[in-house]
Amino acid sequence: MDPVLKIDSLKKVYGKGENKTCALNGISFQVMPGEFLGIMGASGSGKSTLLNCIAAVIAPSSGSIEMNGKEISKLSGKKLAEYRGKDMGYLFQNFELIDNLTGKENILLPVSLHGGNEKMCADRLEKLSSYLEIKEILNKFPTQMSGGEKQRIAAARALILNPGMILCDEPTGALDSKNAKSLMTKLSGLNREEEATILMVTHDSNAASFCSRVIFISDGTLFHELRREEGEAQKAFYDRILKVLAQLGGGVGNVL
Amino acid sequence: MFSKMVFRNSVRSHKENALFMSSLIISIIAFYVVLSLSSQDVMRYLKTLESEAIQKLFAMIGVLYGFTLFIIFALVFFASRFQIERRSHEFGVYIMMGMKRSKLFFMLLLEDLSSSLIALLVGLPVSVLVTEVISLLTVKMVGIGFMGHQTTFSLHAVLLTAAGFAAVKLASVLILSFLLLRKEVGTLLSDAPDNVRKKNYPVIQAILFLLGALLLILAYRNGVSGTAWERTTAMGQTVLLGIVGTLLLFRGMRFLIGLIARKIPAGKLRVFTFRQIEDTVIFKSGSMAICSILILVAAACLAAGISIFCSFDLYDTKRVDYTLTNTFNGGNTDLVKKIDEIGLSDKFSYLGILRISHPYNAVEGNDFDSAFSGEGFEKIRDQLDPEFKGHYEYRRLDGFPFMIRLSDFNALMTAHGEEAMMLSENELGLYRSASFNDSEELDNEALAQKPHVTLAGKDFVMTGKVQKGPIVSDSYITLSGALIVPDETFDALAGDKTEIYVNGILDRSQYTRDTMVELYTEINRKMDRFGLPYESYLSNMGRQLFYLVAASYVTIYLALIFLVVANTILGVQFLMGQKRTARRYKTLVKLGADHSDLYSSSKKQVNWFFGIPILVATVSTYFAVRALFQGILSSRTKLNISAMIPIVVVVVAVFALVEYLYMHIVKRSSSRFLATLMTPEREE
Ligand SMILES: Nc1ncnc2c1ncn2[C@@H]1O[C@H](COP(=O)(O)OP(=O)(O)OP(=O)(O)O)[C@@H](O)[C@H]1O
Ligand SMILES: [Mg+2]
Repeated sequence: MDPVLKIDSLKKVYGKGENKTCALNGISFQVMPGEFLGIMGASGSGKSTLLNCIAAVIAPSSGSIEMNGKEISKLSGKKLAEYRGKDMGYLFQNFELIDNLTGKENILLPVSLHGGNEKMCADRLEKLSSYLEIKEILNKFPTQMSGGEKQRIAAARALILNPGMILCDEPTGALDSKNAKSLMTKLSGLNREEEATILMVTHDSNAASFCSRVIFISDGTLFHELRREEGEAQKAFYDRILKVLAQLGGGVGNVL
Repeated sequence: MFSKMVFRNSVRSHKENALFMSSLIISIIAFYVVLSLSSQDVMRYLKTLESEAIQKLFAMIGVLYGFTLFIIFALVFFASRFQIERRSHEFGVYIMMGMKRSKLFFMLLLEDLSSSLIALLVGLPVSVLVTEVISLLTVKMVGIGFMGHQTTFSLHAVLLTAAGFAAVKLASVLILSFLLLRKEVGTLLSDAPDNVRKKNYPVIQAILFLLGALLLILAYRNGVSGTAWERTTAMGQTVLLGIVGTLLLFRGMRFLIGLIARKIPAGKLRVFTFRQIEDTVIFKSGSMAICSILILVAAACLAAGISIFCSFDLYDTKRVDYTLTNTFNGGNTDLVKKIDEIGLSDKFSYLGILRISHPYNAVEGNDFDSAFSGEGFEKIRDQLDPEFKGHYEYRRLDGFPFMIRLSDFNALMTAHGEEAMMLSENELGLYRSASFNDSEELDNEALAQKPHVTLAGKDFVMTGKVQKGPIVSDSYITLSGALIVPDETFDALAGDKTEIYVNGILDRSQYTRDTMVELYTEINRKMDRFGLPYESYLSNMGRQLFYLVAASYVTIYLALIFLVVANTILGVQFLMGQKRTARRYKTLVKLGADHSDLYSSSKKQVNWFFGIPILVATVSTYFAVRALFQGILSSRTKLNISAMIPIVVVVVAVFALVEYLYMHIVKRSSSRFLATLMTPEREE
């Protein structure tokens, strides 16, 4: 099977001269279709930079990012907008819902921005909202929703166009543990049932334990990689993640 | 370092805010236009005719200047507030970095100074240009080109303009920085919280909307039917109905927007655009209503001003150009001879005398009220219109009326090109000056019934139509009611106490519209030289001209000021709202919207935000202008519908242009602001 995403010796250098920061230092990895990949690392290790490069929000200094065999740095104009809108779905730490649109209107925004079959979208909306249990709140405004509800609305929005890949930057960051757990359950469910490929940056080892694979970044390079074995209990995977984090010595994760 | 920052900030803010700069420049023009009024060519000319009226004008300039100061303060204050509010985050950062508040205040002051200087440098030359154009234009319209143009530039006006502008700017920056510096750093740093969405109550919205519409319709009806003009309270009531109606209409507008805006195709961000429009209607309904009213007032003022100005056409009116009267130095027939002697008689197509008197010989003892009894006439009028009794009490013929000698009167009317009056020995005619002739229809109906009256104990029949043609050159002799009396009766009753006027009508073939004033000036000079006691139509015209010019000048000026204020408020409100809700746009960018998507949504929002108040104002203006013509203008200007059309075209064109420019400026500013949101920034 071909990988959905192929990242090869990616480098990103911010600033010039004295102020130079090397945020990514030749990192390489691949993501297979249907994978749920977690990305962990200490603060400042380059996680967000990596995600932004993949989302084509910032341009890498060197290296290549291939999405379904297409080099994304070669995209421009309409193609680029299409890539951002259709091939990618996003989940943000702070939800990024528009406060004067209802839940449903928020979910359908990508459809109107990037085009899509109305009928198919209606069906998909129906399916997603019942799966994510947001049917009752579709006509509410974000200010009338709880954090968990907001993030589930945002998840529906990220999935509405059935993108090739979903990027999440700390999706549980603003949620309490209960809401975080329910969101992760839904996400991994979608991952399994819809074979949605998910890339998730997180500090939260609990959230990471839902992934099928976790990579650890340190100083802009790949430090370690964990794969959840066939049939491995989530608790066992979680413990393994904690161990790596301890080695990473960053005091990250659940360590106080 | 500090001064560099100030300079950079102010240059940047000018670039960013065309709206702010144009408000400042318009303020300067407004000040200068008022202050240079006295050096306009028309005003210089009027000074030679009506120095007394000019004194009044100077008093008026003071009032106008004060008013302008007030309005411009509101304008500058509002525009600067936006300017400061959009940078509150920046100021918060300065304070966090340890900048003292006093230093921040100093910085604001310096920035303000530099923006004021730039505005003055651009604004003053533009003002001078604008006033020159106005001056040349009015001279052309009035037809006093022979005066020669003199520049309107006046150092006095320039200095006062700069002073007024500086005062307004200083006051607003002081108040604003006081308000700013009192705030907590935290409030400065955080973007203003998003408005909490109010719950939607469609039924209440609909009721408010319909109620507003109803009140407006009532106001329109009052205005158009003329009831509003009957009493001050009725007028106050109408204005109140209009204001409250407009406010309610906008309060309930959400109901209508919900129905309309959703259906309108609006590109990719249709739903978002609709919600944004809905938001403005919900949260800004008050300012939209006020701006709508301001635009209405502006349009009504402009229409009134232009029609007053256009009604200035004395060329075509019937008039007596010169009246000479010399009650002291014996025979007035001498005056006719004198005119001939100094070689002026060939300028006139008519030169003749008019005798006016009272029935002195019919008075018994001291009972002056017994000479005439018009009861027969009054009774018929009272029967025809019972209300007449109360309304036109002063239009009754009294017991000692003026009499006009029939043959003199007929000679003059024939010269005016009107029919002579045929009266037999026992008949009388009725004369009223045009300004008192508001009961003409009723009078004619009554006269048609040939009422019997008694003059000096003898029976007479009143007949014919009411006469209203001018009988002397100036309006200083106006007769609310006089009898036109056959010659023998006149001579018998007047005795030797007759006032004799020598009237002259200029020969039309000797002048045109453009040279009319010049000819007057020339003849006046000659009569002055020979000491003839004359009144010329020119002084009457001067008086009228003065009121016309002053009234139209002030109304047009106010119209433009109101228009500018309304549009600035709308523009600033929009941009401020957009800044406050920048987050929404940022989210859209993250979801893959590009600048053109955001811009087209923003353009549509501007169209609606400006369009709704303009639309409401347009409807109201239609009725307001009709009411104006119904009320004050009709009697003064006698404009007919076809004469109204070019005025309406001009008003609409001016408004369309101003609105287009403002909307364009706001769209450009918004586009620039949206561009700053385009690079998705790191959120940590
Ligand atoms: N726009 C930028 N300009 C300069 N340096 C930057 C910029 N963005 C990131 N960096 C630097 O690059 C490095 C990696 O940053 P990045 O945001 O990718 O870290 P991160 O892993 O997401 O951290 P965190 O867990 O705190 O979110 C950091 O040292 C940061 O200071
Ligand atoms: Mg990060």
